[in-house]
Amino acid sequence: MKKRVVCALLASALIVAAAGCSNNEKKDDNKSTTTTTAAADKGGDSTTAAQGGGDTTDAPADTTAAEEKKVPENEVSGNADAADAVVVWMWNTDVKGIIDGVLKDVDPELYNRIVYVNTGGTDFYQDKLDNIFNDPSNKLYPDIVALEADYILKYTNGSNLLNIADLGITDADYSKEYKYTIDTATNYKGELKALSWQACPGSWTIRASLAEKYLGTSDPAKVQEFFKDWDAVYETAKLVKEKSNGETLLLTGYEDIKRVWMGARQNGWHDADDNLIIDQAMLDYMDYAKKLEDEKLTYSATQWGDDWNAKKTGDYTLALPGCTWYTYWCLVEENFGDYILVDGPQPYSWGGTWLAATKGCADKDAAAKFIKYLTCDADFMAKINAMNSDYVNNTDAIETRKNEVALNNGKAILSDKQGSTLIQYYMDKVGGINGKLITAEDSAITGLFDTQVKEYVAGNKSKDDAIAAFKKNVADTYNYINVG
Amino acid sequence: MATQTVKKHKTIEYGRYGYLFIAPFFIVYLVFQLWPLIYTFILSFQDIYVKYGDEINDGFTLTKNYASVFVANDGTASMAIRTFGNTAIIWIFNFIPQILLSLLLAVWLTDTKVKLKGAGAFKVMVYLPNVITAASISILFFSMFGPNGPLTKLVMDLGWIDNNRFFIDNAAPTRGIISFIQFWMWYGNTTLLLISGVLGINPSIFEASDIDGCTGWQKFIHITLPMLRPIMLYVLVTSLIGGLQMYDIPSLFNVNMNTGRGMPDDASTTVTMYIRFLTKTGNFGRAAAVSVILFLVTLILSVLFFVFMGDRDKKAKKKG
Repeated sequence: MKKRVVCALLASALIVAAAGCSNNEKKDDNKSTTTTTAAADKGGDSTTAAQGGGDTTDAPADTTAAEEKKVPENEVSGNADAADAVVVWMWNTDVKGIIDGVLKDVDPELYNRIVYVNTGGTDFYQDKLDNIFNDPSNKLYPDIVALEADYILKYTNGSNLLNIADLGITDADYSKEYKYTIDTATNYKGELKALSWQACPGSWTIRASLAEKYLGTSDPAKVQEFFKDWDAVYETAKLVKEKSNGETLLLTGYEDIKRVWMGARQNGWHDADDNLIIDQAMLDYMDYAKKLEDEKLTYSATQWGDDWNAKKTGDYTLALPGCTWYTYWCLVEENFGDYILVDGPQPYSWGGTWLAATKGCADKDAAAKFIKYLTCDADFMAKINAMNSDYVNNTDAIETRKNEVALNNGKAILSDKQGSTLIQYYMDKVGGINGKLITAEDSAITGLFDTQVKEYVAGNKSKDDAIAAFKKNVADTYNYINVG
Repeated sequence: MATQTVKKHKTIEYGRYGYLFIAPFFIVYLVFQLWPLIYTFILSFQDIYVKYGDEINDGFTLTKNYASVFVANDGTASMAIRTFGNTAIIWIFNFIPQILLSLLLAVWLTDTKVKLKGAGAFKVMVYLPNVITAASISILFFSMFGPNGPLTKLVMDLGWIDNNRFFIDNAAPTRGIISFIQFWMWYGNTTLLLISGVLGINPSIFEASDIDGCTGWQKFIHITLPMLRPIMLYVLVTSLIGGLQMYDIPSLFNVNMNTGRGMPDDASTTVTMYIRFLTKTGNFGRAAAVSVILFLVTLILSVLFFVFMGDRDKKAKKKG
């Protein structure tokens, strides 16, 4: 009898202890305003370092990308238990920078309500969003989500987001935004569901000193002559290699010009009837890439890989096709002040991040206010530019900031030889962007295309075989796309 | 008599607490393991996918998902079949050297004639690679064999290859390195299992063979190998199950950033990587179908091994 009592006591003690433990853990979770884990830190940092502007689904450096493959934990800041919490989801700290740097002073009341969920890297962002959308009662269910160009249509087409019009944001509010950012976020039913605070026109970043050395000029207008069309780019690549005895090459790898070619397309990856379209520009890109590789005119680096990062340093590479956010985040500090921007063969854009309110948004007014601040309010957006030099998506804000020199760590990024500020340079480029080239399936289809281009360039497959394999893979991935 | 019943009663009472203590496991198992397992079967018969961001469920389908596992839209073998092939190739090239080396080490480390000094230290050392996280090893090897990797540079300096992307742009080297990582990580584990198998053999058999003048090779062929059969079967089947589900190392080694599939040209995409890709692109029904096929393949292969390698002697003895 005694034994039995002791046993029961022990058992209940154990259960109470276990329950107590889990309660404590829960409390801790609730209490902590900032739950940080090493994994999240790493993921967040590496993304910020490599892409900061947060504008691409390509992962950063090989190794960090691999680290991110282990599902990173969410890093939550703010009080998620408050009844009036406004939950914002993003895969890095980009929007948080704006919240802490600008919103805090402009609207402290809204600032105090913000709960920021940083999912730690792009790789699992979509998975995490898909899960949380199915769980509206979760206290971390987002009111506002950030969406990247490569998959924005997947969400604006779906049913999880509110129309911008339903938030009380009108045409007049976003009339100062660049049209392409509106086009991109408008789904196939004609509904606008997201707005962006940044515009991302592309350019070619040229090392002024190397241009002086090998092209004989560092005047942007004259350098542009060397990049005026694709034939000129090819000739320039040969010239640079020859004159430098191979010590400097034109490009880090052929993948660097992929986004430029994609900007030259007439169509996205498929039309409204789901027929796959391989634009002539993409076919030309394959041949052009092979030509560059066969003659070893680049370092064959993989974009975002560590060899890619390495070849941007020193005097290895003369030209780096980039864009507005690339200029602040991907260029290396040791070469600041030695960069000039030229147009290259054709206009293009690269990436961009949009904000949208969710279907289950608890406070539409607060969400609308937040989105309006970041994407419609010229004063607010001018402050974003003042803080991080981002090229903001508002013509009025750009007008007020256009004479400011773009700085990073207090250093001017562009060379004096540019003859204009960064904003002045990009101002007339934004109009050339076609916002209708994006499809909901871009991320996977572009990835499948890259794989086959690599096969063709490496000489493992003929062009026809590579395209056939690409079509087969697309059909396998998206049954509803007709590959013809 | 009376005391006996009380005793019996007591043990039954304690048993009840036992059930309480094991209940959490079974509850967790039912909710998080068994139900998802059953649900996978249900999903595999549903035409469910994501189009433009909306989930579409076209209802029950008996064959659509399963047909797509075997045949692509153009009538050729499907990507799923290719990934099964990749997995098999990578596993076989890891398993054959692994079992050979492990056998050799197991025999040497247990041989009473050799009496190797520091056998314990060796056992620890062969097991060490398994202690490191697979993810770290995969990343380590990728940086060694990547375009800027030290080993790539060394081999290039020796003039054996002329291209710094040799290891990551060609199917054979990429698969070979993944096989090697698997082999290197798991041979220690296999060695320890085989050692315990060898130690389980009655030493008097070895003594008798020594007296009869057997050579080491004869002992190995006629005593060690046949007596090791049950443990070899165990090693083979567990390695097969693990190998068919191979995911962490190939998915971190040489992959396309956007799709997460193995480079070059899917040569290192394993079945589980492909299932992950299908889920990521919203093909839930087909992902479930591939998972079910993977389960069936594992089951059939395991049963086959048991049938063909099972302990026939024992059965014969029992009959006799």
